[in-house]
Amino acid sequence: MNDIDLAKLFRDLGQLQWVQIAAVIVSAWLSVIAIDRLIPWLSGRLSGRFRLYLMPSLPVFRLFIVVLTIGFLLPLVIKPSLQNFVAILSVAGVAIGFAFKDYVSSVIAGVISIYERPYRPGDWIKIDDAYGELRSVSLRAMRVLTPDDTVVTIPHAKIWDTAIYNDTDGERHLQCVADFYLAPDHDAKVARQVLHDVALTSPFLHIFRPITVIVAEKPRYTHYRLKAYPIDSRDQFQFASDMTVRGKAALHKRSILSANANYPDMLPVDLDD
Amino acid sequence: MNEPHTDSAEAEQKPLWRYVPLQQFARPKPSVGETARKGFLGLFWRFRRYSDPDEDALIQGELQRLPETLRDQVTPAPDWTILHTALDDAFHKWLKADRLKADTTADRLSVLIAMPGSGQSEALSHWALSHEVLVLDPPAPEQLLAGADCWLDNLPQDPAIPLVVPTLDHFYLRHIEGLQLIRQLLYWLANWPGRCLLGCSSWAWAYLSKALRVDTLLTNVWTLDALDSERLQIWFSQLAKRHDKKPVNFRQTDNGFFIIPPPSLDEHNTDGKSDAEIKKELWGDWKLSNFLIDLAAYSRGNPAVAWAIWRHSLGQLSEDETEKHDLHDAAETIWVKPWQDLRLPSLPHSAGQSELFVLHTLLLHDGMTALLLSQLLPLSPFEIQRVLTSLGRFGIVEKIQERWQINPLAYHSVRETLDSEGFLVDNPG
Repeated sequence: MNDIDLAKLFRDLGQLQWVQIAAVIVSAWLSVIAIDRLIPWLSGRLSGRFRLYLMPSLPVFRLFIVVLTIGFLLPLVIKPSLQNFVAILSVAGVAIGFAFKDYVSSVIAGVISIYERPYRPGDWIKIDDAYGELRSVSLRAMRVLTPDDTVVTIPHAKIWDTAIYNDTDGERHLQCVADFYLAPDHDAKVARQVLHDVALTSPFLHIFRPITVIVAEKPRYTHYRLKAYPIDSRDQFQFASDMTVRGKAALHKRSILSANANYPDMLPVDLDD
Repeated sequence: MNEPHTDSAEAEQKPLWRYVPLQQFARPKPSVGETARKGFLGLFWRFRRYSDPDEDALIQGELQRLPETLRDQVTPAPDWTILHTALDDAFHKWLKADRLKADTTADRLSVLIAMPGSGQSEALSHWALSHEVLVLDPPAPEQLLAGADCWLDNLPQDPAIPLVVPTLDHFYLRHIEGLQLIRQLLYWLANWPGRCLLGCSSWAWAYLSKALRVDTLLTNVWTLDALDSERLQIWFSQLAKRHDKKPVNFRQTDNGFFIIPPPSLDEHNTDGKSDAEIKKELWGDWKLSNFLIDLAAYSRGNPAVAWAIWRHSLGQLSEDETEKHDLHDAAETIWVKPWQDLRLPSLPHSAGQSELFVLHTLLLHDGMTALLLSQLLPLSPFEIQRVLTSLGRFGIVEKIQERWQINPLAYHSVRETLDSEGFLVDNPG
């Protein structure tokens, strides 16, 4: 399509209904603001099941408003004929294809994520190096708050080619692990029972989920992994810390020493498991 | 509202206090009106901005506070030895049965679950004393934390004498050192050939069932039947009976409906009229309020909670107001706030994790001292004191002889909040 044809698609400046155009744009802008406030407000007052559906639908509402606004604006700025509509959509398609390829890819991925639900607000997710709580989902990207209080914005397009690790998958609970590296010369049965009771007596514990203590013997130490679930996934670090603090105290009381305490010159070298 | 009726024959036959197997416990249901109101109001409150905590302070509205003397006369503190007969009905034969016939753990060991504040430990101790049964008292919390190994040396040896443990919930602490003794005690009981009746709070039972799976070891579990509206009616009218004084009518302020059917007035029966005729003459076509139905449902059948709310809801009119109402002086009238106008303490919006931890721990252990709380929770003594003081200000907790416990008026609110936040809650209750 050449420049002359493209210019003919649009109405003359004098014919444009500026007031109506302004009204449509302002209405759309106000609607987006209203939706941005209304949906989180509603979500905060609904039970978990409805909240899980409502919050992720925010981008869809926004997209709907954008499409509706374009639908209203097009007849106001171009001459209303089928050929003109096809032409302008073709031009827009080509422009978007080149200029906003990644943006549109993220938007489409965002819409798909609503239905596939690889993540939802409130989930604890890991994408590439970013791990944290998914705080919000917008049209193009999601915002993840890491335990270090850093917000990471990740485009939805990541779902096309990146593995997404979801610790909670829409539920409140996730597994926490507290590691203990003990000097090998001890009664493992006692240590295991003590660590089990450490989790069992924590106020953070979600008692309906299992508590597991896994023991692995290493050349220089015995590795205990205490696994349990907190009531609220947001407390995972506090829960792990609580288990660690009380576990250390309880083991120490029973004269079960940590590996480096017993063998100061033989610090474990393969602690990465 | 219900049609007027006197104490029904059915209510007369139903024992006021009765122990039932845990599976048979049925929580009273609210009235249809209250269900609808809660449905609409729940939606309203959900979408309403949270109130300022000060709005939740206790208020009594237009009703004047009942003088303490009169309040104590018509709602005296429950004497839990009234459970004696119910305990006899449920367990006397079982406890005295031939121990040789009790060959399974379920036959030998029975558990009585009680909702908080329902006076079971006092009742069980009193009952045990009157039946020459050995009572096993718990060690002090300090002993529990120290291991309490020597405490086990004093366990009885003669299985012919039945045992009663009124407070199994005081044999454990949710602390790394606090589970050892109860494990050993339950192991000993499982192998002891004698009979034993164990009392336990519903919250401790819920925790022990999850943590130690005691519900699979102790399967003969009983609980006090829920106090429904009929039972509350009987109980409250029994409590309100006063010697040498006029009988009392309890009427709702908004419509004058009777909370409890008007008492029988034999002294007015001078010309052979029936009781119903006398009541009609005095109070016309009186109607019964749904107040007790809603109270029974709200208190989850818990007598202590129901009694506390009942006591809280009573008031009297000002002298001017009293003159406006043509009240017959055959009975004294005490006014009761409509159910929907009752203001009970509820958790402030500012309550956070520390508050929930403290409340949950208090319920799991049926109350405890601030010092012990600081040993069980990952909170500093200062934080514990701050939380308790703050909760006390809102009427959520109260301190009785150094022990902090949940105010029965706030029990429903606390339980609902803990439940919605994913904490373990009791059942029944």
